[in-house]
Amino acid sequence: MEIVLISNEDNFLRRVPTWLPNLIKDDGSISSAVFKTKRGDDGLSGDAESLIVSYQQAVLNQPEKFRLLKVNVGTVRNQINDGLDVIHNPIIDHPEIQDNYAHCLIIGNITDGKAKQLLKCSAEVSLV
Amino acid sequence: MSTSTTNTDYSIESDMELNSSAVYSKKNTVSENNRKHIFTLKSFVNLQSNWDSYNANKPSFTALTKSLSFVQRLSERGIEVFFVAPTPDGDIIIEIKSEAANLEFVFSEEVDDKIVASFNGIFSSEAVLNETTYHAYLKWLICLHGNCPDF
Repeated sequence: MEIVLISNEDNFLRRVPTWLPNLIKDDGSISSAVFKTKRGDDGLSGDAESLIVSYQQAVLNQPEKFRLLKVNVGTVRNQINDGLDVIHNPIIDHPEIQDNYAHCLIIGNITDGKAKQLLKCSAEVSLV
Repeated sequence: MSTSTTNTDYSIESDMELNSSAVYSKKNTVSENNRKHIFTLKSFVNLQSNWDSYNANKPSFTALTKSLSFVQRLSERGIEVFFVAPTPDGDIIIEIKSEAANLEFVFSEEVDDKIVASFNGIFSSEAVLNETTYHAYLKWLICLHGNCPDF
C-alpha cells in the first residue's frame, strides 16, 4: 500500500454531525468541537480530498447525518502552522474500522485556539 | 467576590440597565431556551461511542451532571445558553455569547473544567474554571466595554 505525500494544494475533509448530536448552532455556524481531538489520539482524522472516490463516500453515504468541511492543507501547514501537519494515514484491515485509503491526520497540538482557527479557515463542501 | 446570587441581592433590571445585551433573559427562572438546552444535554446520555464517526467517547456522566448544574446556575443569573455540544473526549461544552464575543465552558471528567473566550470566532484566552475566572470571564463577556461598576 502506497503512502502518499499530501500536497499543499489538497484539502483536508472533516465530517460534521448534524443529527444526535447536531454541531450546527441555531445561527447556522458550526461548533469548533468539530476540530477538537481526543486526548491521546495520534491526530485529527479526516480524508484527503484528492484521495476520496466521492463526497458522498466522505460522508459515509449519510448526507442526512453529516455535513462536510474542507480546509486547505497549505493553510494548515503555513497559516495555522505551529507545527501542524497533514499526513496520509490509510486505514486498512483495522478490526473495528472500515478500510479507508483516503484517511489522513492533522498532527500536532490542536489547542482550542487552533481548533477555532481550523474552523475559521474551513469552507463547507456542497454534497449535491 | 462571590458569584452566587439570590433573588434578594440580584436584580436583573439593574443588569439590563448596565447592558442591553441579548445574553440576559427577562426572568430570573429557567427560561424556555435554557430548558431546551437542558433537554438537549439530557439527550446526550443516549449517545454511544463513535457518535461523530471518528471514534469519539461517550459523554461522561460526570461532565453531563456538572453541565446540567451549570445551566441552572446560569439561569439563576438570567443568562441564556446559546449552544451545547459534546466533544470527542466525552467532555461537554456550554456556550454563551453576547454580540461577537462568546464563552465556552468545558466540563470534563478527566481534567479541570475550563473557560475559553473568543471574539469574532477567534480565540482570545482560556483559563481553568473557578469562582474567580467564572466571574472575570462573565464580566468580559457581558461588560465588554468596561462600564459596569456594579457587576
